[in-house]
Amino acid sequence: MSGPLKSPGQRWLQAHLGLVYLFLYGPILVLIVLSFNRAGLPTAWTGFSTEWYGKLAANEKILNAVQNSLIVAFVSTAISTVVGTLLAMGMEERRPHPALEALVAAPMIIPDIVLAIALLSFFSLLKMTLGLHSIILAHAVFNIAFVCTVVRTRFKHFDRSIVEASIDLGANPFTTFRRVTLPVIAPGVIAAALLAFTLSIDEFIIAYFTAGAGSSSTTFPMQIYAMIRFGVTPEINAVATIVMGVSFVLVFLSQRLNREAEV
Amino acid sequence: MSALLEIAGVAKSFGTIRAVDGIDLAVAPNAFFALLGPSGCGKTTLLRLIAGFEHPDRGAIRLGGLDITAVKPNKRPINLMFQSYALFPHMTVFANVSYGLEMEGLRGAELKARVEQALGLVQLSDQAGRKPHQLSGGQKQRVALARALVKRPKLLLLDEPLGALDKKLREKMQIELKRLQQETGIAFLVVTHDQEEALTMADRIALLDQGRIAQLGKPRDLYERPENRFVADFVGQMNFFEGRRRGSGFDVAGLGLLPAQDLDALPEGAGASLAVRPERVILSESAQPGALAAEVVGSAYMGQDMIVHLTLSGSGLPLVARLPAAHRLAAGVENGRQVHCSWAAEHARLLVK
Repeated sequence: MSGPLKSPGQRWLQAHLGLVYLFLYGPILVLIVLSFNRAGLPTAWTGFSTEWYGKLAANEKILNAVQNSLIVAFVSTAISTVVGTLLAMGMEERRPHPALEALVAAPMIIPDIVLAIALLSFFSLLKMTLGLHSIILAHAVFNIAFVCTVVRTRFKHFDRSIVEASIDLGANPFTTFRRVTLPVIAPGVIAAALLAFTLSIDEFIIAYFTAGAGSSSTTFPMQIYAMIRFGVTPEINAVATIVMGVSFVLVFLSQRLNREAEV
Repeated sequence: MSALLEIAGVAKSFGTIRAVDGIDLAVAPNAFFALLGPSGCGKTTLLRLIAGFEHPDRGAIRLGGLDITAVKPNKRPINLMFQSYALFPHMTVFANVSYGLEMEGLRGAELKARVEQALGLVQLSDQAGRKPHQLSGGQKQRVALARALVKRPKLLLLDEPLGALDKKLREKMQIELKRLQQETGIAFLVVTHDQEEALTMADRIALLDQGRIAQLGKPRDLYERPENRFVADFVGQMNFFEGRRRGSGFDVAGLGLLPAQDLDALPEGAGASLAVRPERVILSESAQPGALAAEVVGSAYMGQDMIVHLTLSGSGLPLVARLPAAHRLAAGVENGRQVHCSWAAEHARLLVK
């Protein structure tokens, strides 16, 4: 009826949508473009170049920080995936009081700055040394909450009788977990781990507070923050572009896995 | 022959609810036994107690003479076919069926042969490579059956096995289950709320009411000789008249003395319910000695049969009659028509509360 012709209302809506996307992604686009800018100035385009990416690869400080961030992200993801999944399973089985359920999710909502100060105070109280290990623990705190929440959504579609069926067929509880429960919830667990990794790798505030002195526990976002104090260079634009690309892929994978799990 | 499964004084409560309230029963080897009852009667709890997923508060469960009350469900030679089928969604049909045998340590050619035999038994050999979500409801049900049967249990428990199937398929599967039971020689214990299913398939039925056995017997016993009002009401349709014995008849207010079976067992003046099956009510156009006058107030054509709703003259009590569609009167049944009803004494059963 309306055919290929669009009514003025529809055109207006499309223009509106375009503006929203421009608002969201315009600055990022500028950043990506400038990371390929030949000159060191952030204001004018002087030609295409990948030299900043090359400089980046030779920057010891950045490489060290990337390594630190990867260690923090991998270890805290491993801890939070195991603990968060077990927590989700336990909550499915025992159905705790709603207040307890809310407490599990709380670290996701508490402002990072509050969590950062709380963790720092707690670590000092315990007279714990600060370093990568304290960042790892701090990241595990909020990541457990995210993992538990994501895995629990997977359990919403989980038929408990398949666990009983496995036991009925002669399997012990461990075999049942390994061969039935885990494979069925696996997409949720993997999605949760990807999300945890993404959250950890670019987390700044909590890492900043719980890190030790010196470059041995400087993470990637902390390094960028240190560099940016001397002005935004195309080198930082290059770093940001890479980080964004990796985060984007991880989030995309995580969402896709979760959607597939719904089917 | 000694019993395969013995349940002795088993009780199980959840909070203040007595789900199973002291049940004794025995299942013979090679039996097709049905636990029948309305929802909430405790039949599913009893099934889960036998499977080992619940532990009784008191009483004992014995299998082949051995007390298995404390044995874990994965160590019992009993398998359960779940109401939801509970197929493993990430495994193929073949892997679903082989799972239980792998748990027994079976590997290689023997495993494969046993699985293929089980799939053949339920006519699913050509579906072995499929995943559960690619199967129809009826196929899923047969995979669940094969998965339980392949373990060659001493006893197979089936929880509402036909509940999720449509009517045509259900009727086909009733015959199929009966065949499988006879072919495998495994004792089947079916839980169902569908009395027709129980009457068709089982050779013994325990009808449960509020955690207790209301009656245990052959299907014919339950239908033709119900022992109490609950059984008479639950199995099939029934007309009830409340009254008391007076001399050589059963006195119902407004109807006078009615014929009844085993009247001598009831003391003079004692109260009871008189139960008459609709198909035992005889309708005629002309007045007969002892027949009750009634008016037709409704009718339902059922194909083979016709259900006629009547109101008895004088008392206003309702009566339901069932007559074959081929009956002389069936064609002329219409509301407001006057008829006469009677029944033979041996078809009117007295039930004492």
